[in-house]
Amino acid sequence: MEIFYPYIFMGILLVTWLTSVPVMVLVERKVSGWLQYRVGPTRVGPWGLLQPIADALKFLSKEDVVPHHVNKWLYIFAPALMVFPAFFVIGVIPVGILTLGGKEILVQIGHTNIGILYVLAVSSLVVYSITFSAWASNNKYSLLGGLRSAAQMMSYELPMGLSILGTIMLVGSLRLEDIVNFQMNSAWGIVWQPLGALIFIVTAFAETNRLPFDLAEAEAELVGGYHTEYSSMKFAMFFLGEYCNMLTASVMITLLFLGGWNVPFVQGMNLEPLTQQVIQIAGLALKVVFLMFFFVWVRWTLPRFRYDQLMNFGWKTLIPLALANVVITAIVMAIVS
Amino acid sequence: MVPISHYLILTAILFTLGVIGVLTRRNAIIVFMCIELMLNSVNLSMVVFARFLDSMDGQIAVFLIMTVAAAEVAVGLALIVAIYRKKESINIDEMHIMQG
Amino acid sequence: MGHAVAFYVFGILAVALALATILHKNIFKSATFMAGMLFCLAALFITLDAEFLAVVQVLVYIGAITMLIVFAIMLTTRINDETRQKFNSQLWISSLATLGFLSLIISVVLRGGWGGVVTESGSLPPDMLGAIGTALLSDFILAFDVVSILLLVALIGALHIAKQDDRKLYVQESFVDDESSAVKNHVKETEEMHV
Repeated sequence: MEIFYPYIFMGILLVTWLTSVPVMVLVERKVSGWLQYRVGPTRVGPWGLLQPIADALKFLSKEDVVPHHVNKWLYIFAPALMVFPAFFVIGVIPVGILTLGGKEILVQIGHTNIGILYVLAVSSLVVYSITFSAWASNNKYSLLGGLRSAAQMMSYELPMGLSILGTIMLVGSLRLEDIVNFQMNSAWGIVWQPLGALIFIVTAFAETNRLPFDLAEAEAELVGGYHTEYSSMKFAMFFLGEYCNMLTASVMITLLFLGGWNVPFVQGMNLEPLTQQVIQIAGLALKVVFLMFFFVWVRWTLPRFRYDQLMNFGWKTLIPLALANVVITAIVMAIVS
Repeated sequence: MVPISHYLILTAILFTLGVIGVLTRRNAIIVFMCIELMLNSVNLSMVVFARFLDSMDGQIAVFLIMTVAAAEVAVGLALIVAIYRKKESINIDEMHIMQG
Repeated sequence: MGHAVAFYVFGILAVALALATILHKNIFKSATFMAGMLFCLAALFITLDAEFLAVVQVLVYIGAITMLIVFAIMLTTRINDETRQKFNSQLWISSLATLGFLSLIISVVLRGGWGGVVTESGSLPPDMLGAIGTALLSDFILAFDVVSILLLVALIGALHIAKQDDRKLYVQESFVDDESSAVKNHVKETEEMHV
C-alpha cells in the first residue's frame, strides 16, 4: 500500500492545482468587482458561480488561429512549455502530515534533500515559454513584452534566491518539511526573517507576472505582451500556467514564512492525531487562500511600475537588501551560538 | 547496471560533436554553444568518475566549472553583441581584423 | 534496471539533440535543442546520485546561461533568418579529424580496462549537499575564492562593455539636437576609444 502513496498524493495535488484555476478565476472576478464597487459576474448560475465554466467553454469553442507569419514549431511549443514547469514544481511540495495505518506520512510526492533548489530551478523554466512565444509570434509587441518579461524574471530570481538564504541558514536544510518543522518548534518564519519574507513576497509577485509587475502584458502599451498572437486554448494555457504559478508561489510563501501547516494552539488541544493533522492541512489551505486574495487585493491597489523603475528596484534595492539580510542573519547567528 | 565505458563513450561522442561544431560552424553564437557542449560532456565524465570512485571531488570540480562557464558566457556574449553592433555580422570568418 | 533504461534513453536523446544543435539552420532552434540536451544531462546526473548538480545544471545552465544565449540571439538575428552557408570550408577535413579522435578515445576506453559497472546504489554519503558545502569551504577554499573573484571580474567586465554602448547611444541622441558639438563629441569619443 505504502508504495502507492506518492501516486495517490500526485493525483490529489494535481487535481487541487487544476481545480484551483477556475476557482481563482471566479474569485479574481468577484473580488475585483467588490474592490471596484461593482458586482462582477452574476449571469451564469447562482451569483455567477458557473462563470469559469462559461469562460472555459468560450476558450474551447473559439477558432484556434495560427497566423501565417509565425514560426510554427516554436509557436505551438511555447504554451505547452508554460504549463510544464507549473505542474512539475508540485513534485517536492509538502502540504502536511497524515497518520495513516499508525504511521506518520508526509503528504509529498517525491522526497529529496534539495527541495527549495528544485522549486527555484523548475520555476526558472517559465521564462523559456515567454521568450519562445515572444520570438515565435514574429510581432513587435510580443517581442517587446517577452524581452521585458524575460529580463524581469531573470533579475528578480536573484533576490528571490537570496531572500530564502537566511531561512536556509537558520534551519540548516533545504528540505521544505524541515523548514516547516523548524517553524513548528519555534516561531513562524516571518518572525525570524521579516526582511526575507518581504523580499520573497515582492519577488513572488514579479515572478508570477502579477500587478504591479505585469509589464509583460501592460495592455495600455503592448496590446497583450507575449501572448498577443495567441487565441483559444493556446491562450488558455498561458492563463492556466500563470494561475498555477500563483498558487505555487502562495504555497511557497506559506511554507517558508507563514508556518506551513502549523496552526496555533491546535497542538495543545489533545485531539486525535488524524483530526489534528486534517485541521493543520485546512490551516495551510486557509493561509494559501488568504495569500491568493492578497494577490488580487494588491492588483487593484498598486499601479504598474515603469520598466526602468522595475529594473532599478530589482537591482539597486532588492538585491542589496537581500544581501544585507544574509549578512545580518549570519552575524546574529554567530553571536547567539 | 550500466558499464562505465558506456558513460565514457557517451561523453566522448558529445565532446566530439562539440569540437565539430566549433571547427565548422560560421556563426559565433553557435560556436559558443558548442563550447558549452564540450564543457558539459567533460562535466558528465567528472560526475561519472566521482560516482565510480566514491569521491565527491569530481562533483565539486563540476560545480566550479559551471561557475566559470557562467562567467565566460556573461563576458563572451557581451563581446559578441558589441561586435555585432560594430560590424553588423557575427560570422567568425569575417572576424580576422585585430583592430576594431 | 531503471537506471539503465534512464541512461540509454537520455543518453541517446542527448546525442540526438547535440547533433540537432550543431546541424540546424535556425540558431534559435539550435539554442532550444541545446537546452533540451542540457536537460538530458541533468537527468543523467540524477542517475549518478548527483541531485544537487542536476538542480544546479537546470538552474545555472538552462535557467541562466542558455537564456543569455537566447537573449544574444534575439539581439543579433532576425526571426526565420536561416543562414545559407552555415559551415565554413574546413567542414570535411575537420569532421574527419574529429571522428578519428573519437574512434581513438573509444578504442582507448574499450581497451583501457574500464570494466567497472555503475551500480544502482553507490556508497557516496547520503547528505551529499552538506558534504559538498563543507568541502567547498575547507579543502577547496582557494578554488572557491578564485572562482568568486572571477565571477566578480566577469560581472564588472560585462558591465563595462555594456556601458560603452550607452555612451555611444548618448552621442547619437545629441547628434539630433546640436550637430556641430555632437560631431566634436563624436570625434573626441572615437579618439578616446582609440587611446
